[in-house]
Amino acid sequence: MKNRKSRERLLWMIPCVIWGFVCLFPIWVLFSGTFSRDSENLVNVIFPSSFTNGISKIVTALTTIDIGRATLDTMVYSAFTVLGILIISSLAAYEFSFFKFPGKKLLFGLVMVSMMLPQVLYIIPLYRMVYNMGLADTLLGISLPMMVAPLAVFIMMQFIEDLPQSFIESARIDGAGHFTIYWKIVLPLMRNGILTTAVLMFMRIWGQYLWPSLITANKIKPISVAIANIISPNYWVDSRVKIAAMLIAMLPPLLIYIFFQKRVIEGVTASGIKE
Amino acid sequence: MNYLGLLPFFSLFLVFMLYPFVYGIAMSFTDWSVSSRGKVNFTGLANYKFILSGEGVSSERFLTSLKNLLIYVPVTLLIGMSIALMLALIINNLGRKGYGFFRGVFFTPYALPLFIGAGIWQWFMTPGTGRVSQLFAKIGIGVGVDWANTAIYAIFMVVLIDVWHATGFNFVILNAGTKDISPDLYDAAELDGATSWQKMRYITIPLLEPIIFMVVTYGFISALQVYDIPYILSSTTDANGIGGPGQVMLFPVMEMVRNVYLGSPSGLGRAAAEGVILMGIILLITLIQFRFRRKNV
Amino acid sequence: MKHRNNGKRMIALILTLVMVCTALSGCGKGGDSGKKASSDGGYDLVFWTYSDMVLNDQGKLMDQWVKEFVEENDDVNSITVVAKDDNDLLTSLMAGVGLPDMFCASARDAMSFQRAIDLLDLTPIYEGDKAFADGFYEGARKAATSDDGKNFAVPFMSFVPLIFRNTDVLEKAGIDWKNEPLNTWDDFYAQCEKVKAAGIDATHSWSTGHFTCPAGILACDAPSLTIGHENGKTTVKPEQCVRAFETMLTMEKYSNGTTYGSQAATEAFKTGALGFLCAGPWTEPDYQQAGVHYDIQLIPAYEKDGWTGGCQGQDWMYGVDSKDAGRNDAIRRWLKKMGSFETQKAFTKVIGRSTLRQDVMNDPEALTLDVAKVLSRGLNAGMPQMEFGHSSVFWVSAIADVAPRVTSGELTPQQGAEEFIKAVNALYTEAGE
Repeated sequence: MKNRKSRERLLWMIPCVIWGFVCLFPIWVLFSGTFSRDSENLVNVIFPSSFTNGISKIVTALTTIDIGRATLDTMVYSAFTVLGILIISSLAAYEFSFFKFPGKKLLFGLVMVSMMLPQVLYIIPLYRMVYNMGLADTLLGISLPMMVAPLAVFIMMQFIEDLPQSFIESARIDGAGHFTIYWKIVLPLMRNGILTTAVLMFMRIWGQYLWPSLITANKIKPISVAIANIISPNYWVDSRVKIAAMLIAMLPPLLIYIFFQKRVIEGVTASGIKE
Repeated sequence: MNYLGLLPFFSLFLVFMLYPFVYGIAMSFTDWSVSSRGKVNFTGLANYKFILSGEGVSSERFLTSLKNLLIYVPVTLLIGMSIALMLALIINNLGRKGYGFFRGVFFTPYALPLFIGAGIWQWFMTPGTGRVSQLFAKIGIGVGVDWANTAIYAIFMVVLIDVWHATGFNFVILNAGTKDISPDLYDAAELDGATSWQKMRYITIPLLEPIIFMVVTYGFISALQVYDIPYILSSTTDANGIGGPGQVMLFPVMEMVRNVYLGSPSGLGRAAAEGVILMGIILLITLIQFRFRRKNV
Repeated sequence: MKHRNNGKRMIALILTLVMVCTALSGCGKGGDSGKKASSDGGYDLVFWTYSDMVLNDQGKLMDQWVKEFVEENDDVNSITVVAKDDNDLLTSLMAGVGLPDMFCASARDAMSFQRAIDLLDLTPIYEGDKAFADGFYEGARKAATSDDGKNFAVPFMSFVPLIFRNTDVLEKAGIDWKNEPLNTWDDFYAQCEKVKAAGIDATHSWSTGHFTCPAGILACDAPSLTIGHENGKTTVKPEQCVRAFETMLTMEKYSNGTTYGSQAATEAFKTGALGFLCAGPWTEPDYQQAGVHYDIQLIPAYEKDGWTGGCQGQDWMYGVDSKDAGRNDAIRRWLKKMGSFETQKAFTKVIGRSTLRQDVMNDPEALTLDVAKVLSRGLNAGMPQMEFGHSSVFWVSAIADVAPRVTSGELTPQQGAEEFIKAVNALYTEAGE
């Protein structure tokens, strides 16, 4: 048994290694590029050649785009938005998955259709409205529109579907109220769904450019805008500095991913309790 | 009671999504443009006729963009979904350490800002000297071709980058889905002497079906609105250059953006009309998927 | 599980606190604040500009000018400079809310700006100050004047594309570059041949990927192009464009396949694998940093002392009508300062960017940097990218679709010229002009 397992493991390792290489090679090349001498052809670099030059690029990147402030600001509004998304989307997913009520199909259809209109189109009326509400360049102004995430509802519904209706029934019989069931039973069981949604939504919001760039001016500095400002084609910024900046920008979401993914747990046993 | 649970979502939805959404659709029937300053005139289907007539720059570009979409969407979904699914299934068989390591690795392309992700692939595909284009040339594909500026090849370049980037996203969802399957089922199968391949085929995939469906559906919705990658690859200082010479990698949303910033009469109304048409296409495809699923599950 | 729920609750609590605090502090200040004079009587103006103008040397200059202005003008409290790029700007303008008091933006969108918002009439700053008004290039000044005689913008920056020559490569090819500038296209072909003979790639493609190179070639024929449009069609004739396409076809022989502006081309140039690179003046620091030995040339003319090429891009400064006479006056004063001889001279001298004041560009004191000297010559020739301020059609960009088809052999130069004119007409039709 053990032999077969290790043989199989080795077999499955192969495609993983191949794809892993495909994933990491570009990033490695970028890393090497930053740590290369200025006189080298950046496009062809494979191995780092100058440690000191790389450090100076990183330092330049950090100081030019005030990355500390940008990371903090982005972290705050992203976390706030994700929290909002988790709460309202899980509630909505709960309602849509387990219950029947008049208008359910219509409302669900509405949610789905809203994913289909490109953002470019409704961004102008949205901006005008948020501005007139006095929320321009504020945390609420940037976050509230992004809290409406049909994708999150969609994802969570798929994770809820696995839960048997019988749980709800037995809880109901025990006298639990509508929202108590949600809070005490469904939510804990949806743990994987919630973590997945949290990580993915965080990533998407972190990477959002169009909306944050419009709605913020001086008080909040999204990192995507800070980066966009140094990759403008109209003036020159050292390519190695640009790359350094983006590698740095990649770190927070990656770390968040690793942190949260550790907590995604293995399956449900027959007794219905996640271990 | 149910409505109470839906209240938070829908109240925000109504204000921040539905209103601008309806506004956008309504504007497609007017002559909304940069010069409108708040006063628009109802023009009925004029914008739609203009876009779909096949005459004139806007229409030709829009129809070309739809053609490009026709090639792009099935290819990127087929390749991307297969890889993501395969990885999500396989990774569970790797044992603790391998699992933890590769899980992080597969996600990194999605964490990298797309601008530089697309940029590095641009370098890899440089005509003549790019590593990946040289690799392809060795196996006979695209010999001497400038991928970014040639029809069809440009679309495949976008597919390449999209698959590299987005597989991380799909992988995370699918993998989390596999985690939700009870280990008891696998243990029982193990006792019956099943190989990991058989376990995958008879337990994992069927139980994963709802999530696979969701990922594919969302994949369509997302692929039909492709914008970032081709925009980054082809962006220039002039709006007409979007999509590359000959519009080889022009897609509908990019064309919408061009109309928004062009400042032509009814420009925004036309962009809105293009958006509504695209939305109609997405809706149709999604409905077909739902119908198909209901018939076969 | 309880432990985790507590953790979640803590996070939720903290974030709610953060949210409440920021919302309270932010709510009051959002919206239309700053539009009225603050209680101590001074205006707080907002100036939107390109991101590079708030960074490094340019940023320091900008800070200095803001400081000077606020000191010299009692009715202005402060000027907040915000970095916004063209598309952000347009979207905000189209939404009609959150407008700044003054902004610097491309001249390409001048028509959109005029239509979308009430631009401030800047005629008062030109009237009566001949030195100020006549110092601008006539073409730019005319373009920034509306049909009914109102000045709606202050011309600011401009550029023409340049050719950088890697002098190490030229030496290897046996070219005496100090005494052989690129005066004519024949010179250019000859030098490319020599570089190729030495086994090094001559240059990138001058026809694929981007309009700058093909349009730059077209600009050499600017004196014979009847630029303009009537009845929805361009007045440029195909015959006038044929020579440009022929030149593109010849240049393609020397191409190494990379495109204008691509990282691959730039890196090849910097590492001595490419002889000639067409690029904007702002890229110069890149080559200096890499330690490349280079010199700067203009896109050559067809005859000695003929009309050199390159399409001019222009950036202008605009003011927004605030409906408050005092505020408008302050805005005008700022724009006048920014458009003044002293300010623009500092710009050219310190940073090397060319401006649209001919009194600056022809002043030897301002032309301390080599690149400025070359740009000064270039601005006396070339061709504007489009009819700035009087048309919204970026007509030269249509060449980017046609040029590759000529160099690939699909079209003859004559056919290419005809296709080009057709494409330009289509753009005018689309724009309704």
